[in-house]
Amino acid sequence: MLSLPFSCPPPKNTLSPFQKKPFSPSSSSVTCDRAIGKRNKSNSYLSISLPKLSKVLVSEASNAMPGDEEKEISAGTMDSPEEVELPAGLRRELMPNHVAVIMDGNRRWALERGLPVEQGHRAGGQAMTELTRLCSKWGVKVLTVFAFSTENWIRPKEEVDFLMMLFEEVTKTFSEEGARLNFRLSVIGDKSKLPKSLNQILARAEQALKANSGLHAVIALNYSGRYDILQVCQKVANHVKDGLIQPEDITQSMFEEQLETTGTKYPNPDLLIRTSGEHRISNFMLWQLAYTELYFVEKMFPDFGETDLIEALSSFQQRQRRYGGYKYSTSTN
Amino acid sequence: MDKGRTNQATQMFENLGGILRKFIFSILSIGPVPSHIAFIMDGNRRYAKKQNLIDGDGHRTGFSALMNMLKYCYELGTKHVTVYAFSIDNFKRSPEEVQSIMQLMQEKIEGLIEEESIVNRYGIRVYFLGDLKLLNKPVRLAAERAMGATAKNSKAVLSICIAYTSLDEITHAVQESVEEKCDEIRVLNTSGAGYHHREHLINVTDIEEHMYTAVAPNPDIIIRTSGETRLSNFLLWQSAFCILYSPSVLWPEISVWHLVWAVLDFQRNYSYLEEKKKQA
Repeated sequence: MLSLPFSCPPPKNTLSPFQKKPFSPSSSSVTCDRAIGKRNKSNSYLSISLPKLSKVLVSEASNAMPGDEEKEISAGTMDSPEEVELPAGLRRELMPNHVAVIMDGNRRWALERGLPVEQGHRAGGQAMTELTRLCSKWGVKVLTVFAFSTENWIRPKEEVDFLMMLFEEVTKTFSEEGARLNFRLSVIGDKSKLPKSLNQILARAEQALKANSGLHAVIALNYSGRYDILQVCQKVANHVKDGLIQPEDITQSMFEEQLETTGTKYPNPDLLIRTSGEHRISNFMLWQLAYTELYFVEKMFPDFGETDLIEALSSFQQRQRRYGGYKYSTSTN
Repeated sequence: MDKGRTNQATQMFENLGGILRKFIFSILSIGPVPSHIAFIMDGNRRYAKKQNLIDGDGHRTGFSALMNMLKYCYELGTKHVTVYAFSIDNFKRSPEEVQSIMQLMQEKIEGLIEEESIVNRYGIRVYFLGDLKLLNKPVRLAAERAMGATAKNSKAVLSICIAYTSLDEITHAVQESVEEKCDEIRVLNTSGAGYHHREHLINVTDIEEHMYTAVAPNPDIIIRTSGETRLSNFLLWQSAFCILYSPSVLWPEISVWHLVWAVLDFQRNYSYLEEKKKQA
């Protein structure tokens, strides 16, 4: 069971945080996309692939991050990521563009200490804010956190209500931090079930931080991987029913463009971190995790701090990502 | 003479091993046993390199390891086993390696339907799941023959994912379910019965019915060998609630102990998994 700092009450969906591309039957391929190893073309993970690695090692003078076609200049008071020194052992060119986190263990953390569950969620909220700061500082471009799953509604009403309230508080704090540290904020999930007040606060925060160019923080609220895939199915089915497209126009790339994660530059996580020792995806981003490196850590989320993040990033940087092919380097394995 | 004695000794150890294994399984079976285990068989090439074999021999040894694991799973009482044999992404490898794997697969698929194969011994029905049109003709025909030959078996199910990726599977399932639903609507409209508009045209059941893997329930455990901890486009939808286990052992070296460990982990998480199944 996920123990998450935020709960999302179901307000009306007044937001469309992501610019989803409209269906265009004339431009989509007629046959089903039989791409051999092809992913979404905007996915720049392939630029971290091993053939380039040896070149990157040689030209360390270049501070350009993989896939970073445009230089993002920080508008805030923070130094641009290229100037901040990374912790020892981490390499800038191997930083993941997109990190996703399943923030599990808040309740168990509290129970272990004889504290009420609400304290656990508060501690989780603080850990999340700190995690966002560190990711932003070290050059992660997108951070997605699994705050509330579509399955979490079955929790006791008092806990769910508390989480809703806590989330409103954290969003306000986040908005202030974001203004100072150049974050952007988006929310994915079925917002129609979230309380109206929470949705209003989220909308205000998103609007206020919209122009920022730094870390893009994505909060998954009342979200699940299957929900995301299903919502694409509904859209696609309605378009076919209305004769706008044919079933054979439904390709992988067209599908991906309609997922809720499509609004970020790096929609698919490079690294997923799950705390509390559970080795499961728990219905988080399923489509998007196809090639994501998974990292499981025993600690409960409120205890997940800077050292743990460094270990996770370090583990990621040592992994061999092959995407079904094989390494091209001549070094022995 | 010596060779005869060595064979006898090997036989004796194998028999003892079998008895010990059955004893351990009988204890494990006191608790809940997973009904479906999936394997990502990673590490054959690294094994070949480590043992100074040619690449192809790594895959051959991997095949023997697969036969052993199947035996253990079915002895334990796990009815469904799914394996990731060849991804659509794997076509990216060198033509020589792809050709060698295809030849090996054809040979092994044909071996599966022989009289004394494990498939007939354990009454296993075999499915080949994926975009089979991407395979060359001999392999595709061998796969179809194997599916036909084992269609009457009903004790257990082996699903071999070949020319498969999960994203391809999901896209294909959505295409088919959308097509089916829109045909239904068309028929209702033309017959005058009319279509009663629903907010959700497609639901979870519609998609799951059209998945290649609809022949099995969702896996309880996915085991990926060689220490890599990622799904690599395998059973993404189906893995939503299952346990992921990634031992560092290379696939040809996997043993019954890894299976035992995975099952113990499954038993520890059993009540959570059952609750999730009911919610889903």
